[in-house]
Amino acid sequence: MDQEVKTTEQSDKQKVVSRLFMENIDVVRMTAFCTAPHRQLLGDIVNDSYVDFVQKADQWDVTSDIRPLLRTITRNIALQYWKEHRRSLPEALAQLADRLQQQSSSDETNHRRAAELKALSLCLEGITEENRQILEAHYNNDVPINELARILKWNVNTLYSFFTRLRNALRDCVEGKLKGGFFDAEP
Amino acid sequence: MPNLNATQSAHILIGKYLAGDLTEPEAVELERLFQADANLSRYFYRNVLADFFLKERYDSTPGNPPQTKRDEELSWDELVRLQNAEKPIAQMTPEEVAAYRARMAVPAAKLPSDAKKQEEDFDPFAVLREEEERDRKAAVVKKKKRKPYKLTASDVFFALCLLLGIAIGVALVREEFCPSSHHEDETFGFTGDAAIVELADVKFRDDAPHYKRGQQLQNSRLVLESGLVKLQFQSNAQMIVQGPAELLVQNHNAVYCSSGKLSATVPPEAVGFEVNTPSSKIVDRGTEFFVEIDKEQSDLEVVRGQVDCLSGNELPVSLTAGQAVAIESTGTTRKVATAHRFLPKAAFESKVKEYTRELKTQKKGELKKVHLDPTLLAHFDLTEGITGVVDNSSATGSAKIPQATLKGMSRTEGQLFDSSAVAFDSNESRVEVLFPETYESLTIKTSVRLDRLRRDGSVLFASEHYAELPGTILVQVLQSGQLQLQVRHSANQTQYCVSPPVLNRKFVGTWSEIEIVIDGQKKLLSLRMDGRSLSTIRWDNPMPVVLGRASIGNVPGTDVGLRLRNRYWYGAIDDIQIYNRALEK
Repeated sequence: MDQEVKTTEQSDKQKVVSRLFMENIDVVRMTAFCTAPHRQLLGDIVNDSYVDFVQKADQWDVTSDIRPLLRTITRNIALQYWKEHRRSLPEALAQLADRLQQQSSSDETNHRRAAELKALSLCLEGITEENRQILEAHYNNDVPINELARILKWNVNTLYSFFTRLRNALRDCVEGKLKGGFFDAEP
Repeated sequence: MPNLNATQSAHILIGKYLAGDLTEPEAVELERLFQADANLSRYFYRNVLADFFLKERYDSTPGNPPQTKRDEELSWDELVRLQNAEKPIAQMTPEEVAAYRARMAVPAAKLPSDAKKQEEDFDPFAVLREEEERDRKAAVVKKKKRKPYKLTASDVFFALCLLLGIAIGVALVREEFCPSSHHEDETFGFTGDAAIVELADVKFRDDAPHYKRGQQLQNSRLVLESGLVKLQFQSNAQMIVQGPAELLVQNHNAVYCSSGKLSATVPPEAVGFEVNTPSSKIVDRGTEFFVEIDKEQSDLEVVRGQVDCLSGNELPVSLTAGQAVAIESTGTTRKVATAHRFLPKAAFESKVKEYTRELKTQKKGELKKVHLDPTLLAHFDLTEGITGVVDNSSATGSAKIPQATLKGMSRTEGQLFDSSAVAFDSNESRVEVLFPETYESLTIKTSVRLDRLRRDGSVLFASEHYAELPGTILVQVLQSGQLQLQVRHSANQTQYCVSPPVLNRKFVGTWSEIEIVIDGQKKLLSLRMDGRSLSTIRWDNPMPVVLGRASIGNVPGTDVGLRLRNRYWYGAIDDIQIYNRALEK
């Protein structure tokens, strides 16, 4: 009987921790990306962080701010993934990855995911219909660049360059909107 | 911002990195660019951030489950239509996709005539695309109707036997009729990213490369002080550049232009053609447009179709027919009224014609004087006629060498606009001339275009019975692009005069004037191209030059040994002059 009660209690705690994790998913994802700036690692890092966090639920004090803890857990897991990922890269690519990680890790606290996503949505409304369609084909429908270039009958390098410029323009737009303080009042 | 070429490369390489397509050498190059410019590194990081948030944004949008794979490939229009459908395409069954396609495809005949006209006005390639689309759909429907067929082991065996039989048959036929087909060349006509199609009254800047009609451009700088140049890109895009102008051919579908006026015509297959300027990037969507670039500002005017303009950090702007935009050096764009400043094609062609007419008149005048030269043995103008004989235009030489015989020729584009020349395109092609005497000195001066470098050499001139008699000569271009003069001294001794590899891939398809000089008095053998000396050597054993029934553009017809391989001049000749003296440079 005692055993059953204990199990139920743990389960409840886990539910609370799980909910807390989901409430702070922005923090987790941002930390994961800034520690290991590679899109494909993100899902695994978030998953492992969740499992780690929930498994050790009974250790956490859920009454205080949970975010520093989430950051630490995520960062540790992300670092492991990053080390493995870096090891798998040829030297030249690893050097690039290092450069990127150096920049992103020092930039972590500057990003508020929710605000940036809102600003991004607004910026996306400002681009031309054709550019939006191309963007969606790649980011929403996962059409690879080569395939997209074939469909569009564009030179593939043109498309690489197009995306780079468009992303930069969108970044400018997002930063402009965030600088205006419009999203600061948002929760 | 760093210099634009580095930026351009960085844009592509960053795009590749984020798409996971960056190779190791490209990563090295990107790292080098970052070390050269710290701003690029920041640019890179911002791109990665933007990429992350874009992915996050689309992943978090409700109703955007991961796309399921479909059997058939969709065209861009279909993809867009389906993306905008009420139900996400990823959730559609194949039947729903087919139904959606059928619903969205409005047959051209059902369009009201005005609406159809408007659509055609807006996009000149719409009709073509519709036809392609219809054909493709018909093919898809046909494919769907076919019943699935299960292959059996005997089917596979039978198919393999059939393929083997066909392969052996083809090999035998090739060996029978084209004994040297396996010696075919590796170099083909379009060797650069672009070629110069026409030139009109062009003055190149002294310190910049001087190009000729037909010359291939690859990563080449074009600096015009004045005049007009028409370029044909490998992608099929065409561009007219009006001097003064400075531009760089970046690849088969892109140029960087720092100043000048240019108008581009881009067919559907070259969509994506880029004109990069110091302050912007102009990406064509299958159209015709005009750009005027100077230090302060670039003006872009769209004549028809659609053009995207990306400048500085501004969002891309799409322009359609009749729209114009001014791009300032800071990258700021503003729409302006169209001024119709583009150079119409007709005006360009009339300008070229006028220029060519002047050149032809000038050349005629010069030739009149040449014909009176008593040392001129023969002059054959090969700009007309492909069979029969061509008369010798030399005033004194025609008595002994009245004519040349043309064999197995065809006509091709000549050196000047709207002119022609004889093309050598088979093992039988040759011009035969009978030289009844031997000569102490000799100069062969000819205008030629080589369209392909052959593995076994391309013969330009050969004495009859070459290699059998002392004093016979052979002139050819080797596969390396070296011009070579061989003079036979005895049965087992030949002297060679070889140039550097000047007729290389870069010069393939270009007209050049070649001079072969055999100077018996000074005991020198020389090769020249376009007035420049390529090579001069001492002639060890001067002797009378024997030509006999010489063959131009091929090995002599009687020489079975030499004819075993295709060695004809794969290109064109439009003029040949032969002197019995050594011409001065």
